[in-house]
Amino acid sequence: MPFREKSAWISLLATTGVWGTYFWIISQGLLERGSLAGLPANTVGLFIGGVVAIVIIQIILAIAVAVVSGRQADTPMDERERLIDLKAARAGFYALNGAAFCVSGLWLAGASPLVMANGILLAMVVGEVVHSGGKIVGYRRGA
Amino acid sequence: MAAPPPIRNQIRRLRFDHGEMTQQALADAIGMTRQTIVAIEQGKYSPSLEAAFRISRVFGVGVEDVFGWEG
Repeated sequence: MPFREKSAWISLLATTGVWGTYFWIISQGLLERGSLAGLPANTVGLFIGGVVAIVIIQIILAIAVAVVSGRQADTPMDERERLIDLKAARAGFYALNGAAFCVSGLWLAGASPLVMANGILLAMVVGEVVHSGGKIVGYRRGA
Repeated sequence: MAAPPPIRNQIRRLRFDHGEMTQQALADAIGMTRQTIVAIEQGKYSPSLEAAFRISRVFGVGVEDVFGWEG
């Protein structure tokens, strides 16, 4: 598996793992309250924990993959890899736009600013998942 | 899935004719990754004109001796 496909897998798994857990906990809090008007008190702490966790996980896994991949990790992107990255970034951009548009519906449902902020975070996560997934698909298909 | 581009290539044969040059050696010679050479050989990726010229220069032949249009 190419080094950059491994990197995309790391990003995809770390993003879905960390932020999936975060949003699952948040959603449980929302379900208990039965309202979008507020979030559990530990939301900010959970968010900071999520950011720290994803940074640490990505750094550790990126170093491990770079060590295993050897000189592949030092090779600059070639034209096919740039094309794959551009296509994936475009797909991620459209996913982010679509998700952000859906999040705007939360405002109509009476969501608090903190809930809206979490909705925007979710849109960014969706965009990143599509971006990483698009890279993996591109590498699997050849371009 | 998109149909493969209608471009055939002779890279595998040319590598064989040049002392069984490895995909990695060709990739290093033109500044690409081995995976990109694999994708080109399998017809999954059509290289840029610049890359096509670089590949043909490695084998000392013209571009049309490496790549051809099918159809």
